[in-house]
Amino acid sequence: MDNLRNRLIWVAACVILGVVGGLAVNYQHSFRKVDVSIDPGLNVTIYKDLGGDGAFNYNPNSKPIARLSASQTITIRDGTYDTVVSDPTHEYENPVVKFVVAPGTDSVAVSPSYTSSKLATLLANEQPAITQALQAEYPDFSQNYGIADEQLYEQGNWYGAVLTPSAPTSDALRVILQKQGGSWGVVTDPPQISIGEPSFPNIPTDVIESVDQLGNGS
Amino acid sequence: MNMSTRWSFPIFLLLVVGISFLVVIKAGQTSTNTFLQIQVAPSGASVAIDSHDSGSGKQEINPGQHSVTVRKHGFATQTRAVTVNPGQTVYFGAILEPNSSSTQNWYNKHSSDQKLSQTIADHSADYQSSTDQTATPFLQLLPLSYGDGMGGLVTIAQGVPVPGSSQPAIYVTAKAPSTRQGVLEYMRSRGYDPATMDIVFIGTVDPLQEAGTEDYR
Repeated sequence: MDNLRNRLIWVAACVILGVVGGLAVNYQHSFRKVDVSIDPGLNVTIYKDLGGDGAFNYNPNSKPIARLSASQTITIRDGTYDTVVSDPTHEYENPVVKFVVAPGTDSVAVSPSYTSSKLATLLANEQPAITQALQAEYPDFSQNYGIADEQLYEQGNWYGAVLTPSAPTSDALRVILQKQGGSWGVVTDPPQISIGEPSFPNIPTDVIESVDQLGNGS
Repeated sequence: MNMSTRWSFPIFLLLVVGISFLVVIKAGQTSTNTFLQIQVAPSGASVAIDSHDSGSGKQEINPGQHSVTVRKHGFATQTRAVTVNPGQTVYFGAILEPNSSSTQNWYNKHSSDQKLSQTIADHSADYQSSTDQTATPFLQLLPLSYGDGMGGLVTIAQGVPVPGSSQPAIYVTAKAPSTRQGVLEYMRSRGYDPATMDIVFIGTVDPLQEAGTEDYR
């Protein structure tokens, strides 16, 4: 009888050992290395998202997962996180960016957009360089077109405009430029009546859809 | 007590540890719920996803872009990139072309592989059509034609993708700029967002382009 009891104790102990070992391995495998890319100049704090409805839900008094001031690789568990951008001057439209880490996640980008008022201020400064870029790309630009509606997007690195023709037989065109390395370049070359997302996968879809709405009264 | 009796209980305990361990590991594996449905011809061709042998049939994978390679001796190897979104099941069909004298006319000589290749071709066409219509529901309304109110005709039809795109483009023929804008308004009024589609306006003249350039979006 004692022998049987001892054997059962051994079996139970081995089951517990196997379960604990499995849980330990599962826990270890739930961590992954993720490249967090941050726009230059940003300071961000990453918190665990507490779930529930809404765009984000975190406890600012809890211990953050990480504080970053530059792009870097961090080791993080699968789950949902809220990245809070330091925004003392209220420059960002959405200073909290939510992201999900799951099997297959190897990078996340923290790239919040500026507020529309900040973008409008930046646009005034960028206009001469943008016009110059259009003129350089299309020497006949100013003879044939004027700029009717225009807007900067994201961190002021995307620009969209409606070009209105001087001749009634021509079409109003839409154009998107991107600022890279300090200079503007036309991305949707040539300007188009309607810009399609499928053929411009490198342009954020929000930007294309917003440019498509420019001048439509919305 | 002989040797086999002496060691049977410790071995049993080791098995208990191992099975408990594997059960917990398996239970902890979260499904990506993302799959590649792979079908290849000829039968017996090997399939590798991101250089790892996988076999054909339904394969669970991580969401994202993957490289799928199908090879068989005597046939030209095919490698294609495929992007699978989370929770999606993407069909991947490949028919290898014979490239040696020993496999010449392979499909004519092997009726089962011929049947398989026909099934893959049909399934690929159906899948592409349904994928296109899911991505661009407006395609279901095409072709369309109507009078522009000025004696001209507006036609809207599906056509080949434009450079840089994998989705079918929508080709519009309309004489006047106002009519072309009218086509976009028509799409918006029906709940379709023109920005999500590649639209080619045929026969327009772009003053920003060199003389002779007529077609552009």
